[in-house]
Amino acid sequence: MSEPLIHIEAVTKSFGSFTALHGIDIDIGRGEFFSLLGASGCGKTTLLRILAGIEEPTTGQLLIDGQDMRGVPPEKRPTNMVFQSYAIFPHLNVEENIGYGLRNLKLSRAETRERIGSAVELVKLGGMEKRNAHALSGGQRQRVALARALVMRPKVLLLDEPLSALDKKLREEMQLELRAMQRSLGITFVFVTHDQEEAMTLSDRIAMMSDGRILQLDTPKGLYERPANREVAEFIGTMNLIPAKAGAAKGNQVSLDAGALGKLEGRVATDVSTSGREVFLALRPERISVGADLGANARLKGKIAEAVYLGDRITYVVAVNGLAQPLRVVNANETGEILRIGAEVEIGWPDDSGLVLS
Amino acid sequence: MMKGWGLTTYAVLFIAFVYGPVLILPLFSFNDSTFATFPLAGFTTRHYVEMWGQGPMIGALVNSLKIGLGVTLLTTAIAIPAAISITRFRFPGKPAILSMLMLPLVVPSIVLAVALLVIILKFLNIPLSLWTVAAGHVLIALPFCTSVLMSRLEGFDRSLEEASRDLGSPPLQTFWRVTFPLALPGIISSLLLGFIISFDEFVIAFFLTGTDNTLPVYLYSQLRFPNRLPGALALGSLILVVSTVLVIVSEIIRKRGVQSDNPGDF
Repeated sequence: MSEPLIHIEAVTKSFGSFTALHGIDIDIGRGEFFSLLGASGCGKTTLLRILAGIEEPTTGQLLIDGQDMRGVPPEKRPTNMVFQSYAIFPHLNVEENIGYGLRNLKLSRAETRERIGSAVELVKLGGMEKRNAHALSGGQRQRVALARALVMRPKVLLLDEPLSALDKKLREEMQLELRAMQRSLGITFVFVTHDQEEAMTLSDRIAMMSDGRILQLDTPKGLYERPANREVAEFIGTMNLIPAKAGAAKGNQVSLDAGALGKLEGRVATDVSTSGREVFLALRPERISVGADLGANARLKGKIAEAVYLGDRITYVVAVNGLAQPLRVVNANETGEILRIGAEVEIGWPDDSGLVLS
Repeated sequence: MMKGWGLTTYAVLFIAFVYGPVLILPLFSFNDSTFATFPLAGFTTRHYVEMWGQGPMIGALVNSLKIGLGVTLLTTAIAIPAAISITRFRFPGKPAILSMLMLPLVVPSIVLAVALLVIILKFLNIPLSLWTVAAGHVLIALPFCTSVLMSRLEGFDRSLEEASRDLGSPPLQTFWRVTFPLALPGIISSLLLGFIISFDEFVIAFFLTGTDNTLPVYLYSQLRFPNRLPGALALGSLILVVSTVLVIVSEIIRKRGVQSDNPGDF
């Protein structure tokens, strides 16, 4: 990354005795679609509000486009925000809402008209310019909020769970539109969400947060394939965890003693030595294969406890002797055959699929 | 059905009990007699005509209108920033400040009146006048106006103001472009409430006034003269009509405001 557009360094935020953010460091590049992902209360919205200038960090530094933002009020920042509640001004119509901030830019009348017009176009609200704010549906209000922020041509657009109030179909449609809009406008988006699928769909990079800390900052692929710890692994998608004791390492392959399950092997993502520690062997459901006879690939034996046919794929819950949690397995439906509940099966996975997590 | 019938009777009796005595006022104001006694002597509107000839009473009415107007403007002007600070900001001692602000609601007005009288005469050495009455009225109207405004300000999404700031409007501009128009129904309610509180206040006006009278104080002083009573009844009836209309209008504005401006009920 060349010079980042947003530089967040050691930012903390306390509300009285409660610490919402503990030392956050993030660099966000120009034109990046960046997501802050985490459960509610993890500090992601607080961080977004610090970027907007609505909250001031307790300590730490925030630079946007090389400028120190300390003491710079929200009205003077090159950021605009789409609020979770949309915050559409109820006493103004669609056009007045979208044009609200333009008055402060002191543009010519023609330019103001032009900008409102193209923003209305962009969010597909043509013909609704005079409509009153409370005559709009949830999706339309979301579009007004987006247009109202984009019309300001911010360097950074901040989005606080903008899609969470929409129904599933509309949400998926808006995700694609947002992504396309972000690519064509080239504006940096910082997007807050608690929905891992949404974050994966939209983002170039994701900062996964918990309890005011960043657990992992990575690409969607990195978060899924190389989760840094158990919490990330379980938040992003589904992960099977087999408790084991780590043994000797050879390169980044570690031999594991899984008790009753015997000897297993796993890969470590980082150079941290795990030798002798209690760890987990983490396996994604789609990397595990089950069958009556896997030959040399068989690593464990189990029994099908549940089988769900989903058309394009089949999910199994496989009980394994000596393992408290049954394994979740997702197999592509290649042959149309489904293993019966109660069937004794062998379980296997490719060598590099098992990840060692502490 | 019995239950519905019982409740209806209860409601009718309740309303009769509350408003019946008030209706005596217009009834006798149209009665063709100097004395407010039954049986009624016949219909007349002459009291309404003669009323305007009672110079001191009209003077007192004008005093009350002037004080009411001044008091409500000043009180609302003080109450707006108070309500904004209490609903929008975190600051130390907020609960204590709020309680102090609401205190005049529970202190008997006779106690306030005596205390103010002592302060004004003994400590401040200000002669009693309509100004001192107005000052007292601001004190008692403040908690009412503040709570009306607070409920209005709490009723709308705080992120509206944040959005305005985010879109480039500094705090003062945000107040005029967002907070004020959204709080307007509350501000109108506050203005009407402040006026009515001052207009019919007796105890503080009685203690703190100088040579000029407010209307309630004047009416009280005239009770000894039976021949002035019909004029007072006529004026009282007019005030009743005007204040009823004002309260209804303010309720309509307030209700409509809540319905249309609250983002929660889109």
